[in-house]
Parts: sequence; C-alpha cells; structure tokens
Amino acid sequence: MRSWKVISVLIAVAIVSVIFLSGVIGKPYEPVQPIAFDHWLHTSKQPDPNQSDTDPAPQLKCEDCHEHADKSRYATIPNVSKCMQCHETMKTDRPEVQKLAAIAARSEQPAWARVYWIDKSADVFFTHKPHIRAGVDCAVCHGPVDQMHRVRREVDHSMGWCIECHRQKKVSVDCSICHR
Amino acid sequence: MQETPEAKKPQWAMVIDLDRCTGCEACVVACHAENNVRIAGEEEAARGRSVNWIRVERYLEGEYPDVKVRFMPVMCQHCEEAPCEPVCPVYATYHSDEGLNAQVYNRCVGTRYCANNCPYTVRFFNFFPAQWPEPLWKALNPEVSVRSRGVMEKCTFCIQRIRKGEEKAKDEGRDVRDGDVNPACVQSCPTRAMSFGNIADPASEVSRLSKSGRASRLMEELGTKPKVIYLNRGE
Amino acid sequence: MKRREFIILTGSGAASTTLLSGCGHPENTLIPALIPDETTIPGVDYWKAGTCALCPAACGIVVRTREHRASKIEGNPLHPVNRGALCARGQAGLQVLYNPDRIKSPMKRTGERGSGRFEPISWEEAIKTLAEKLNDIRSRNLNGSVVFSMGAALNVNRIAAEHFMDAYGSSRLVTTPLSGDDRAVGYASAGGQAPVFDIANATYLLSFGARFLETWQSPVMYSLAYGDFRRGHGRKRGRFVMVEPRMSVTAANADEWAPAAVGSEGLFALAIAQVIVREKLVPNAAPPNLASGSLDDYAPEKTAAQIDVPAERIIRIAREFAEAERPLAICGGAATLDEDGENAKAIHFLNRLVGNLNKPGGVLQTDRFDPIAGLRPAKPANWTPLSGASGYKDGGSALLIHGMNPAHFAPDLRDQIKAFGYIASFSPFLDETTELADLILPDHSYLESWDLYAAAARRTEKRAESRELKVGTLPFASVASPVVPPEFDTKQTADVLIQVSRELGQTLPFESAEDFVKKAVPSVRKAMGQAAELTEEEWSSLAETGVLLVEHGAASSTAESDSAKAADEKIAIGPAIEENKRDDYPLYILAYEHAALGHGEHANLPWLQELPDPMTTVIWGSWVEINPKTAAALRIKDGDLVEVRTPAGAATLPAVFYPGIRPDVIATPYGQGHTSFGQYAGGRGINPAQLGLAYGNGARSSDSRARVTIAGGESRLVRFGTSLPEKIDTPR
Repeated sequence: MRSWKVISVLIAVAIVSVIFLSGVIGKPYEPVQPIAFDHWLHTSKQPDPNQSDTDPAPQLKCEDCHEHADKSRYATIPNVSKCMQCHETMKTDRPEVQKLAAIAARSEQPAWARVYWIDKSADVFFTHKPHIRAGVDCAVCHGPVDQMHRVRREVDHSMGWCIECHRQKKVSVDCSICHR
Repeated sequence: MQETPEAKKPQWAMVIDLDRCTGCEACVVACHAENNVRIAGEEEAARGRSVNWIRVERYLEGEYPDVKVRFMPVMCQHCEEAPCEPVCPVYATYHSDEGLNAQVYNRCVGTRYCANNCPYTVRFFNFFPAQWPEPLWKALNPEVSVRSRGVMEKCTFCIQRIRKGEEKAKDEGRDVRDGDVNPACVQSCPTRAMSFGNIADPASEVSRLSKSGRASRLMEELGTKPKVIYLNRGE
Repeated sequence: MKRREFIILTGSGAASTTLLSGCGHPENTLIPALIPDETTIPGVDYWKAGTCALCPAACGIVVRTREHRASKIEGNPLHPVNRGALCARGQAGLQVLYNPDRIKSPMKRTGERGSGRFEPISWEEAIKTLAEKLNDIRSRNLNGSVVFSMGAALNVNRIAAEHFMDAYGSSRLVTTPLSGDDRAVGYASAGGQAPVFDIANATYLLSFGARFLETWQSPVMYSLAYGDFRRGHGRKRGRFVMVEPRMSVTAANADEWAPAAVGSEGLFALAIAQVIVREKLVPNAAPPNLASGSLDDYAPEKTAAQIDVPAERIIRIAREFAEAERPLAICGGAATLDEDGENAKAIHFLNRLVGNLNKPGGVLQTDRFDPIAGLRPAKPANWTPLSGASGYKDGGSALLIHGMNPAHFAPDLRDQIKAFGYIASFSPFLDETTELADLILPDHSYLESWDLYAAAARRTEKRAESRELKVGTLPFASVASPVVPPEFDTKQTADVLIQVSRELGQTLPFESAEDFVKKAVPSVRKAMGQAAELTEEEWSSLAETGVLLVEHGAASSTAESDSAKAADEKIAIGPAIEENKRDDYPLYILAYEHAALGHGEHANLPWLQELPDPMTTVIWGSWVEINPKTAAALRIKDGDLVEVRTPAGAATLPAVFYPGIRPDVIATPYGQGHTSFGQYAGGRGINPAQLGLAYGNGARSSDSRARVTIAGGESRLVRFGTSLPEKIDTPR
C-alpha cells in the first residue's frame, strides 16, 4: 500500500515538473479573446503625422471605455455599440473589425474572456469605485495594459499583495473591509 | 488585525426599544433577504438547524388569565468582551476597530467553539450547503457571500450597509452620521423600535438613547459588554 | 496518507486547476461587467418603486435591483401609508417573483380535468383559444352566464376585467368573501373609503379582536402608529386594552388582556356603554339605537356572567375609556365572527358615545379620492362576494379566475367550480383551483407589472404655533412600473384581457396596462391641481419615487366631529350565545388568519414558512392551541397529536399548550393544508376549512364547536429551537 502512495506522489511530482519545464506555468495567463482587440493600438500608439488620415491613433484613456470604474463595483466592459460608434466607419476593412460588426449586427456581445478575477469562494467584495476615487492608477493592479497587444495577467492578485498596498497607503486592513 | 490608521473610527451600536417592539418579525425576513440567510427546510429545521441571525424571543409569564408576554429581538450582541473571540483557534472571529464582532467565513474551519461559548446563542453553523432552486438564487444579495457548508455565520450588523454608508460619507467629505447606515432589520421595523448608529458620536441617536433610564444590556452580569442596548418596556 | 504526501498531492492538484481555470467556466467571462444597455451600469444598485401586493393594505415599496435582478424589497419612505417600513410578508415578495414553482408559460389541459396534467403552449395559441371559446359562447347567447372571479388583484387588472366583462356582456363578477375585519370597519365609515383609526394619537385604545399589528386593515401603518402610541415624542404612553378569547400577538402587546367569552364582544361594548351613560361619564351621553329592550338590560351586573369578565372590571374599563383624553375603540378578528355585524355596530357605538369621530386620536372617516374614475366603466362594477349561495351557484358556460383560490379556502365549492363548462385561470401558480382549469394564462408577478391606485391617507399633525393636534387628509397615488423584466413567459392579465378583447372585436379604453398608467397619471396630477402632462424626466423620476402627492406636503383639513355622517343603525345583540352549548362538542374552535401565511395564499414562500409563529414558534406546519388546564383534563401533553372533531369534519394535528387562550376555546391558524401549490406549500398541515371553518361561508363562526381527543402516533411539530435559557434576567 505504501509503495502505491509513493508512486502516486512521484507521478504527481513528475507531472508538475513537466508542466513547469514546458514553460506553461511560468507564462502569465493570456487568454485568446473572441476579437483580437489591441489595447496598445487604442491607447498608446503614437500618431504618424504623415498617415493621420489612413492610420489614426485614437489615444484613448482607460476610462473612455471602462467608463464606470469610478461609480461601480466593476470597471465595466463597453457594450459593442460603444465600439461601433467609431467602427461603423473606421477601419471597416480589417477582419477583426468585420468580426465585431458582425456581432453587433446580430445584437450580440463578444464573449470576452476574463483576465483577472477573484475566486467566488474567496468571499472578496472588491469594488473599483473607492480605488479609483483614491487615485489608484489602473496599471497598479492591471499592469501596463496600454502596452499590451493581448492582455496578460501580470499582477498577482493575492491577498498578501492587496494587504501590502493597503498598509503602504495606510488604508484599513480589517478583514471585513473586503470579506463579508 | 488592529491597525487604526485613522484616529477616529465609528463605534457601531444598536438600541432596541422593547416598548415599541411588537414581535411582528419583519426584521427576521428583512435579515434573511439582505444577508442571504439560507432556508433550512422542515427536516433540517426539526433538527434545530435553521438559521436566524435575528430572532424574536417570546417570554410567557403567569397562568391564564393573567398571562404576560414579552417580545425581545436577539441578534449577535457584538460584545466588546466577546466570549466567542478568544476560543477561535484560527482567528476567524475577531473584533474590528469599529467595534464589530466580525466573522471571516473563509478562515473558519468549523470547530463551533464560538457557538458553544456564546451565551446569546446567536451563532449558526452550516451543517449542509444552502439550496436555492432555480430561480430563487436570483434574489440573493450580490454584496453578501453565500456561506458554504462547514462554516459558522452570524449577524454582521449588515457590514455591507456599513461599508456603503461609510463610503457615502467619505464621498461627501464628512464623518458618518445618523441615517447613513441602517441595517436591514432597523430599516424594516414597522414600529421604529430599533435605532443604529455611532455610539462614539455624542450627537447620535443611539448615544442619546443609551443614556435613557430604561437602558440595559442583555446578561450584562457576564461582563460581555454588548453593543446592543435594550430599552425596557416600563409602564 | 501522511500529511506531507497529502500536501504535495493537493499542491499538484491546485496547479492543474489554475491551468484549467479560465477555460469555459461561466464565471470567467465578462458577462456580469458588460454594460447591457444605456439605462443600467453593472455593479450599481438601482431602486425602483412599486406597490406591495401581498395584502390589501397596498404599502409602497422600493426594490433594489442590480443587473436587472431584484435583491431586496423595502418600504417606500415617500409613501404616506407605510413611510419606509414594511412587514415580514411584504419583504418576502422576492420569493413570489423568483419562486421555483411559478408557471413558466401558458398551458392547456391534457389529462382529465383536475388531474393537474398540462402542456405548454404559446401565448398566441392561448389567447386565440380563449377568444374562440368566448366567441362560441357568445354566439350561443350564453355570454351572460360567464363569471369573472377575481380576488387579490392589481388595480389595473381589476379595472381591465370590469371593462372586459362590460363589453362582453356579462355582469357576473365574483370576488373573495368580505373579511370580518372589512365588514367591521365598514360600519365606522361614512360611505367613503375605509376609515383610518388614529391610534398614534389615541391615549386609550380598546381593541375588540382587531389584530392591527398583524393582519387588520393596514398592519404596517398601524404598527407605525402603535410605536408613537407607546413612545411618541412629547406624549404620554398610551394604554391599550384588548378583548379577545385567544391572545393574539396584538393582544400580547396590550397592557391588559380581557378574555371575554367567544362572541360576547358586542355585549361587552354595550355593558361599557351602559356604565358610561348611567354614570354620565361623557357630556350628552345618548343611548344607542337598540333593536329591542333598553340599554339597562346590558348593565355589567346583568351581563358579566355571559361575558365571563367580572362586572367590576368592565366598570373600571368603562371609566378608564370614558375619562381618557382621547379614547378609541376598534373591532375585528374574533369579534366579527358573529357574521351579522351586530358586535361591530355595538363596538363602534362606543366611538360615537365618546365623540371621537374625525378628531385627533379618533375614527377618521375618509372621503374617496378617485381621480381615475374616467378610466373605469361608466356603469360601476358590482363584485359579489363568493359564498355557497352566491357566486358560482348556478354554474355557467365559463369561469375566468384570477387572484383567488376558492378550491382551497372553500373546498365545498369544488363541485360548483367543476360545473362550469370551461375554466381559464390567470394564476401564476398551480394552486388547487388552477389545477381544475382547462387553460392557464399565467399573470406576471406584481414586480413585473404596471399598476396605479389612488387613495387618501390621513395624518394628524401637531400645529407648531398652538401645539394643537389637527387632522389632515393626504390624497396620493401609488405608481408601479416593472422593476425587473419578466422572469418567465408570462403576461400581465390586463394585457391578456385587452388582447382577447381585440380578438372578440371589443374595445377597451386603454391599449395596455402601461397605457393605463400613462393615462391615469395625468388625471391624478390634474386632480391634485398640478400640471397634467409629465416631462420625460418626471416620468423617470416617478419610476423611482413611485408616489404622486399633493405638493407642499400636508394636507387639507376636513370638517371635524361630523358625527352626523355616522350611520345610526339599529343594534341587535342577543344574549343567546349560551344556548349553543353542546355536550358532545364541549369546546369552541376558532380559526384565525396566520400573520405571515394569511389564509394560505403565501404558503408557497419559504421565508414565511420558516418564520416562527411569534407566540408558538411553530414553523412549516399547522397546530391547535389549547389551554394547559383543558389539556390536562383531557390528558393531552404539549406536542401530542390530537384529533379535532367538529360537526363538519375532523383533522389530526399537533397540540400546542397556549396559556393565552380561554379554557373553553381551541384555535388553529389558516395558512396550511394545501394539496398542491408547489414544493413549499403542498401536503403540509391542515386546512381549517375541512373542519367547517371555511371563511365567508355565511355561518356564525362563533358557533363553531369541537371536541379534542388524543390521536396517538408521531406528531410533526417543528418549533424554532434556538432561545436563551428560560430563567435569565432579561430586560423587561
């Protein structure tokens, strides 16, 4: 019986090692999105004065699209109709924009994959609103999304990490601030 | 856990006027709805496993025809010297800097020592997972967790409403005042028997009422220093 | 397994779950955070106003919604009736909306009638089916035999039904039996709406059976008033005396409980009146208009034995009542079981005697405020209360039924119901009556519906300058718009009736329930002297405030002490109750309305099923209350299963010792005993109707007699277990 246990432990260790060695686990989580939305393109791309007509750089701020972060628990994901305000006419030749337009035409929403979330069993009631109102930069918790083409999870949202920041900022670390 | 970055934290307390309380139990349903308190069902309730964060105690005295009845709502008394706190081996129950006796569900390992040590019997154990048949779960409050099997739960003074009230006061750049925070039971009370507020603020209603000649605390002699103050009926 | 092995194993498990997370798990799509439309922000609470539909008091409510889900109901602070408070029943309304046993779409019967077998159909088919049926009936000139039976219903649904029947050509409108409470209050009205009893400002309250803290008229409004009666700012604590054979929760709050004999409340009131008149305790004390005999026949010395309360005590209460600054007498509950209303008339005479009509702390008779009369049928609809002798008696070609469940509250009428050629039910639940239907057209819950009702609230205010109390009238309208989108494929009954009307070639004066509200609001505003038309902004703020009020708050005052308005009907109290005693049935039996479950209409709400009865702490079932002395004589122990037998039938249920009940009385609550009505209600407890205690059957319920014997066997009595040790020193 004992040997069975040892073998099973060894197998488990082997699987974990293989996963580590293959580099999958080291890589940040970076889900494939239904539309290859490029955050860098929409926020950080510098305009090229020679091509401003054919290749504009929108240079959007986070809150232009995630517009309710200062009011809601969620930063909120824009409705596809918001995307179509521009893409009705702009870059309609791009395949990803055409995909978007097709979704909008069906009155559907792209099934965006979540990059950051807190497990439900953690009983954490995180709210964007007070963090935004306290002037926390989006990048503190979400990493340099404005430099990413596809969003990766670069910040580890562990409890220790939350508390570290709360301590630095002299904000309460009472359990019931987040857990209830 | 006791860091107090801000000097003056509100100290939450409740006053219940027993002369106004009629035992109607509106507070009980208000609490169930607000705090996702589970339904036990007949079988489990028969085994004493129903959960009521707030209950209305009924005391019958005398014999027919001289029968006297008193009603008394009882919830977690948020004792300053809470007997439940020191017995928890994992610090799942602790005292917050706002005078609340808090329960961290995902730290709880279910020893039930706290319930054993609570003289007010206001702590409840989840002997089984909560059932919310479709679509009953939709009535759940998204601001409160649904406790899993194997953890203790109890009245939080509606911590989610306290946070919301504090946030509102902060947005308006002021300290909390009466009316910012009303737990669900207080809000619902059809006779306005309950008041809630910051007892550290001498201007608050609970401060004023707690100095009433009718004021007393439940089982004061145990030295638990409850944060719930009862006003006797008087005649 | 050793601890270390376990940790390593779970460690590798955790790694693989991390890897797999984010794939296909619904939690990990961004659906909750996605902005669905321009009106709502995810993660933000929106409070929407409506009207509570769980009892006829119709309190104002606000509902917390987030992402189009309702998660809490509270009282509407702007509503003049309940001013932000709400009772247990009202708060359980969420479980009406999200009840797992709701009917999810229209259905037609597939099995035998009453078999409960139905299959889902489309709304198109359902409406066409009903229209064809009604058209066929009309073509055979039988439309006059069609019955519309409507109990608790939203105002707009009721008005739509009246129009529908008017246009279709039938005047057979049937409603639930008038409750004793309603009849009792009716005697105090003066032709207008039900009067308001100013408990808040009374200094001496004498309640004959009126359970105003639980079920009587408007429990939240009167609970608010009771709070002020006890500990109102700047006033003395009021004294409250309750006369009732069984101590209700309301009586349990009284300073004095007088357990008068069953049915003797009218005698009690006349005995008090006799003392007041003979001792000239009030100026100009005029005796009542008695059908026979003189008031002196009712002197406490002569009636005390029948009332079973010592004469000295009656005299003391009479003196206290008459000498109080603002005395008030109210009537309801057990005092109305005489069915003929004589008790209520005698009790209300006490108010006339002390002259408290339309005075602070008295009976505030209230004119109707009906600004939407233009939307009702020209000919006022006449709703007949259902009884064995009227309503369904002659059968008919079709029965349309909404908001009432006679197969449960009056099971004797099942055959009368089945005699109808065709039955269409609008019930959102598969209750006992709906099981008999041929077609089900499920209504929305009230939280998904449109509605508007108007009434007048009364308020006594203290004049700042003179410190005088002044009675005011506060006309208002309560407006409800859907707080959440329909949960299932249901339709508001008013809209169904309008669509069926169209199929039948009839026209109704409004296009939909929404249109009704859109038309009614301007006429209410006009009646309040405000601009009739609303701006877009005012409409959206109305969805949040839910009430239309006369601006600048209070209130036109009405003429005071207009006692001439009060009806002076003849009072015929017989001293005859003793004659009904029967040796084979030695006890009286009372069935009373359960504070939470009502007469059974809320038995399908689990929050209310698990809400301990305040007096007995029983949950999830029925029980019979018995005085411990009576029980001891019958060798019954607390919790024993007993058989209760009446001349009409028998039931087996657990006995609960109840010190607050007369030894010659037993009592059992309405509420349970459903044979269907979903997983929470079905097959639970006893329906008092099986003991011949169906309410509104026209019999003198105060004559109901019973005997109790031990039944043996295991009783299913669940009482809420947690409590403090009995012998502790609690605040009192």
